This record gives sequence, structure tokens and C-alpha cells, in this order.
Amino acid sequence: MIDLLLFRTALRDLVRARRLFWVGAFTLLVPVLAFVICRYLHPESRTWVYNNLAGTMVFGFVMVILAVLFATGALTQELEQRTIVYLLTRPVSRWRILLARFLAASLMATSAAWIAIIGLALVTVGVHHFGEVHLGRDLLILPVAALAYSGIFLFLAALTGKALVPLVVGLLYGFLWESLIPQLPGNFKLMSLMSYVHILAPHNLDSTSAQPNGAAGLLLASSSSTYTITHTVAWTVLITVIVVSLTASLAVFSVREYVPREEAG
Amino acid sequence: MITLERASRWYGQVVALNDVSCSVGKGITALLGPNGAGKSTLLKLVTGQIRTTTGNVRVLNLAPFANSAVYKRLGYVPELESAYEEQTGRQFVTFMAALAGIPGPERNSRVAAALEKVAITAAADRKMGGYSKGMRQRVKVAQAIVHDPEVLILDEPLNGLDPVGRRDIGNILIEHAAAGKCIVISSHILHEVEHLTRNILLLHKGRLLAQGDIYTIRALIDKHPHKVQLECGKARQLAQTLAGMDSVVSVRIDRANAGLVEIETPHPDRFYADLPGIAEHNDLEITAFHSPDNNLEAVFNYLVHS
Repeated sequence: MIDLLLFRTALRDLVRARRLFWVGAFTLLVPVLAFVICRYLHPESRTWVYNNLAGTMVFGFVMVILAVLFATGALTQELEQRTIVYLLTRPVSRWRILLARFLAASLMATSAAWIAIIGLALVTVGVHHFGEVHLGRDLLILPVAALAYSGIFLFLAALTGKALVPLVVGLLYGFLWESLIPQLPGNFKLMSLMSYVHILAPHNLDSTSAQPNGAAGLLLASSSSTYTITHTVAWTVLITVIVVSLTASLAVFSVREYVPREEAG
Repeated sequence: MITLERASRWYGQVVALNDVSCSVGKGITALLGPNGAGKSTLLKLVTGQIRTTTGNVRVLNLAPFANSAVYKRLGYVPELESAYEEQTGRQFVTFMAALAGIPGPERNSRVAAALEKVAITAAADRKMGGYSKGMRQRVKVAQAIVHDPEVLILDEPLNGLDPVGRRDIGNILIEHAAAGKCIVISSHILHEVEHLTRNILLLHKGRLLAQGDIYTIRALIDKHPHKVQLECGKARQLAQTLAGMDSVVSVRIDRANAGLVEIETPHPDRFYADLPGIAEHNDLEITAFHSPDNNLEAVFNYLVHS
């Protein structure tokens, strides 16, 4: 009962006008972009538009940025508004407080990403042709990916206890690291979470097709990955990341002090 | 009920609390000290928000840090003004009551009783974002007492309250103390808590200066000559007259402000009692007076140096 109350309160806290504006903007960006692109393409290319935008924009951008916003906000909002003291001085285990907030954050990130991808499917292939794209599979993998990313960003927030640091680090990780690492030669892609997500929800975004020509292309080709990520490996890695990052977040939150420094007099 | 054994707390190179040992039992205990004395740090240690760097803190015989068993029996009014701005006072207290483990059926009646006690019922269904500072203080007290805790910790709860509010909150604390609860209230204003308790802890620069009966401390303070500054158009005549008073040990006319006379008296009560008669008899119009000693900082400086 208390867990449900904590979850509901966290959901209400996360739905703030300022945050909702950005969430709405990111969520609607994909269908709007798809609408604009589809106007200039042949109707038969619409599946291609869905796959490209689902892979790059929904999974690679919207879901990640929503996970950053909600997962870091799940903790840092309480720290910023300095109301965390009320939660930490009640007879409820700290890990239960954070778990409820994590689940609320993941639900919010997933819901918004679902809206984005359903909107994308509606605009590109229409409701009668959902079967032409793997919408069901994408809807299933999005929450898994959101949980994994949210776990990592929540851990950053729990570790630093600050609002800005996990947000900046989260954005750098989500976009710089996750964009660059899979492009590097060899098995570097194994260090990117998105590589595993794309195995479970492929959208025909084969990075080798985008490799540069000339000397750089030869270098990448000669040192291309020697390891193929299977479905089993992808599931195992994602679930491990969720469990480990969440456990670490809960452990840190249970023992760390969260008193604002300026109030420590 | 609360024990500190050589408790110290450092923030990096800054010592916030230095080797404090004391124990607090049932009844009201006032934790006094100027701003930055370490009061909030001590209360954060007692409420288990932070840990000691060295030494021990025990509340109800338990280590308080992140300890649910302690929080079941402890209520806390933090100093901060922040609140869940989007929630109403009633929603906030209900949420806190639920987290305190008060079961659903009796929760509403307990919340209503707590809100009634702090006299905020009329505004309880308004969003806290629109509350005045005094109303926030009342709601903060309501959330702290809603689960009827054995130990009640209040960090500057009288800040921002009007006289009626101070009286209301004071009455609640007296009532709780009469029921055998342990109450610790911090303040940097001595007279604010004088009517609530005789039992005080004096903190200054992180150290415990004195502990015990407020009148003992008062007597100690009264040995220290108090400074009083008076402003008068006839400063020289006033100084001459005051110099003849038994209760005055020194008189000085301020060089920068020729209308300002500063005296020192070891008997401020006698001085204040005699002053109106003397002024009237000598036709001296005193336009203003104040005592720079009439604050805790001066008292602590005296105690530290004596």
C-alpha cells in the first residue's frame, strides 16, 4: 500500500508543467518529422521512413533523453526542492522510496516513447498497415531499453546527489558515447548499450553501409567486429544492466547522506 | 531518550559540531545558539539524516541514521521552508501519515486532528504553494505530530510565526511534554523559548557551552555588565545624570554620534526600571535606546570569554 502511494506520488511529481513541455516536444518531434519526410517520398518508402526514424530517433534519441530527464529527475527533484528530508525521516526503507520513484520514471519514459513510436507508425504506414513494420516488437523492447538507461542514470543521480551533474553526464553518455562507440572498429560496439537494443529491435540500420570510403573505410573494414551479438547475449546484457544499476542505486541511496550542503550549518 | 557521546561532525575542513556530549530526557529542551552554532547539524544527527564523523548518537537507544525503527517514534520539523507546492496541506499531512504507517481507516481522523491542533483546518485544502511562512510552519508541525511520536524534534519552528501562532505551537509542545514526550526545540532567540522550558542546551561555534536550567544561565549572564545605548538631544546632560545612578558602572558618549550615550550596567532590570523616572525628572527626551547585549551572540561571547 505504501509502495503504491510512493509510486503515485512520484508519478505526480514527475508530471510537472516544465518537464511535460519538453517531453511533449520530444515525443511529437518524431511523428512531425515523419510527416514532413513522407510528403516528399513515394508511399512505398514509408516502411523505410518508419524503420529509420524508429531506430535513430525513437530508440536512439527520444527514449534516451526521456530516460535521462525522468530517471535523474526522480531523485534530483526531491533534492532540488529540498523535500527529501520529509521522505528520509519517515519509517520507510530508503530503497523502497527510490524503487517506487525509479518505476515511476521508467513508466513515464516508456509511455512517452510509446506515444512517439505509435505516432510514427500512424503517420508513416497508417493504422491498417501496422503489420508492415515491427511495431509490436518495438513496443516490447522500448520499456526494456528505458529500464536499462533509467537504471544507469538513476545510479548517477544517487551517486552524485546533484541535479546538474547526472543530467550532463547522462546526456554525454546517451548521445556522445552511444553514438560514437558503435562506429569504432573492432569490438568497441560491445561497450554500447544501444548495440544490444538494436539487436533486439533491428531497423536495418547496418552501420557498415554507412562506413566511409577510402583509407578510413579500409581501416574500418579491416578491423570490423569479430563478435556477433546474439539475441540471448543482448537480453542477458540488458537484464544484467537493469539489475546491477538498480541494485547499485538502491544500495547507494540507502547509505548516502542527502543533506544540502548550505543547510548543513 | 537522546544521547550524544563526544559527537563531532565535520564538513570537509569545517567543523560543524565539536565533541558534544549531552543527554536529553522527557519534557521540552531548548537548543539555543546563534546562527551557525551547529544547532541544525546536531538535529540532523539526531534525526539520522547525517552521521557523526566521530562519537555516537543514540535516539531511544538506537542509532538513528536511516533507521525506520527510530522514525516510527520520531517526528521532525525541519527548518527549511520548502514544501510540495502542488499539494494541499491536507494531502501533504495525509501522505506523511501514510508513510508513518497510520492505517487507512484512522488516517483521515488523525490528519484532521493534527490540522485542527495547529489551527490550519480552514486553509488545509489550499495548495501549499500559496501558503504564508506561518501557515507552512503550522503544516510542518502537523506532519510531525500526526503519528503521535515519542520524540519530537523542531528546528526553529517559531520562525515566521505571529504571536498567536507562537502561542498555539507553544501550547502544543507543552501538551506533548505533559504527556511524557521528549521535545527538542532549537532557536537563536532566548526569550522565544523561555516560556516553554527551563531546560536548555547552549551551543556556540559547534561546542556545547552550557547545559541545564535556564535561570542558572540567566544568572550567569546577568553578572556580565550589559551595554545599553541611548539616543538623546542632550547627550552630555544625560551622561552626567546616568553616571550618578547606582546601577551604572560606566558611561561613554559616542565620538562619531554626539547624541549617542552608551552605558554599562550589571543590573539591567534595575536600570530599566529607574530610567523613565530619571528621564522625566531631568526633562531628558530619550528618542531611542537599545541593548547590543540583548542577543544570544553577545551572551555566548561573554560565556566563551569568562
